[in-house]
Amino acid sequence: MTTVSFRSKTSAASLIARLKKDEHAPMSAMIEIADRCNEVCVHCYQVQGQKGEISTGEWKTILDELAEMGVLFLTISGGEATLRKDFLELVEHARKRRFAVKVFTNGLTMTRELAARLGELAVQEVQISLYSHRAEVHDAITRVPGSWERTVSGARHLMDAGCKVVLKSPLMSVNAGEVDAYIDFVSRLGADYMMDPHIDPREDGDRETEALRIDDATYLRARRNPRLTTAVAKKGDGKLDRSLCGACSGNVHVEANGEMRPCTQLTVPVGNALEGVREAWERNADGAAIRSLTWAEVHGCRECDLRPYCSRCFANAQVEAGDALGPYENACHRAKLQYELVHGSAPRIEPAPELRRDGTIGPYREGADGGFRCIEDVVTEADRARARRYGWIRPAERLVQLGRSPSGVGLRGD
Amino acid sequence: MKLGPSSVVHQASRIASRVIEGQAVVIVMDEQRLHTLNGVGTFVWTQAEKPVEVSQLAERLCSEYEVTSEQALTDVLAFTDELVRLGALEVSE
Repeated sequence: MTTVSFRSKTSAASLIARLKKDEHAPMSAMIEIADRCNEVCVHCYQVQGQKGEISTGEWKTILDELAEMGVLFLTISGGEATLRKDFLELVEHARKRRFAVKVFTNGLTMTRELAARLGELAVQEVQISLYSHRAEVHDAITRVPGSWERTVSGARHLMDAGCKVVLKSPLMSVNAGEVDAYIDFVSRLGADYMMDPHIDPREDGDRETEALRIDDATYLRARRNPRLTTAVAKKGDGKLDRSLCGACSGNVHVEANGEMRPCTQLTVPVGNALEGVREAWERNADGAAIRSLTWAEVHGCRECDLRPYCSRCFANAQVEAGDALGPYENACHRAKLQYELVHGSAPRIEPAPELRRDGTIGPYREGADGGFRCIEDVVTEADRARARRYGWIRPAERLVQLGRSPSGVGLRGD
Repeated sequence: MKLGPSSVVHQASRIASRVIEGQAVVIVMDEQRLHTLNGVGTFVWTQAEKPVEVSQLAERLCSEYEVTSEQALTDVLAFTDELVRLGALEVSE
């Protein structure tokens, strides 16, 4: 006879690590069901109205397949997801298939009735974009007069219905000065909050939104604000065999038209969910390539001694530098700020005029005195072969922006 | 309410769940808590997808695992009782 223990508790992260035989197997999915929005936010990275939207039945088939693949956590987003007439029907279907559902919304259409239904359906969380505690600031960002009132009202309806509500905002030059007042307001409302200090370029490569980024002093202040983060800034291990991010690993991302992407930012098609999510997840060549990428495949960065402080992004690199697998200015800048957060002072960067490197962009080599000197960005034949094979790595129209090496060894070498 | 052998239980509506590599993962939404069940717990959990008597669960457990019927009933009663208390199982009217 064996008496068995039936139950154990664990965190979601350790659970995933422990249970999955395949570390890349998806546990979560984000479906962006609407290719439209009723706000026109100044900072939004999305381009609406060009992808099209698939039908209710098609989404249900996709949800069924995601459930069969073992996906547990589902985020329903847009555009503005609630603009679809079948929004509730899709949430109901997802809950019937036992997903833990999060909804991302701007709250404009969140009536008391809709909120009550989401409460009955036991959605895990509703995240609402609220950009300021002041109506005039929020409305200027959404470019919809009266949106603040409706959004806050929607949040109240959801909390009345028993839903967990998170109000969130990126930190921008236009709202970052009032972080504590924002947090006080949200806390009085009874919601949780999230603030993100990063602003991304638009998905079509337009970099206009970058003008809204906060300055370094504000960024450092936000990262040191214990109300915004409980985590102490740490130096990473910088191991070369580590994945750079979670793209194509653990999370399935589906656009409004059924196109699968590595993440919401990286506009590389890695399959069509209408032709089978599992098929695309397991067999798409670009998806498999992205999943297997490590720091060792990123020229420049792999030699850089600021790598343990870096959180580079394929999508931002592609837009900023025209090369998803190379260094780019904003990542290098953020790495220096992360170094400052860890060590208390900014790294000393020495330019290398002989390489025509002014210190803005890495790679950097740390010297015995603790300072960093620019070194050459070595692009190998293997890097070139990879770029030839996977066209998304260096989209032709954006090539050679980073060609700072006089020797032809840098990106101009292509 | 204490469960008995004739109590009928089923998976609650306010949960999320998946079986991953033979282990059930259960999230009770109202508690925002995540639980994992081992192989035997997962067997019982999946049997309760539709309403089922606790005694039937014990019988099915006996047919799958080397356990006496008395022990199976004792263990299943304790387990289902705990899951009801956690909000993962509901008792059918």
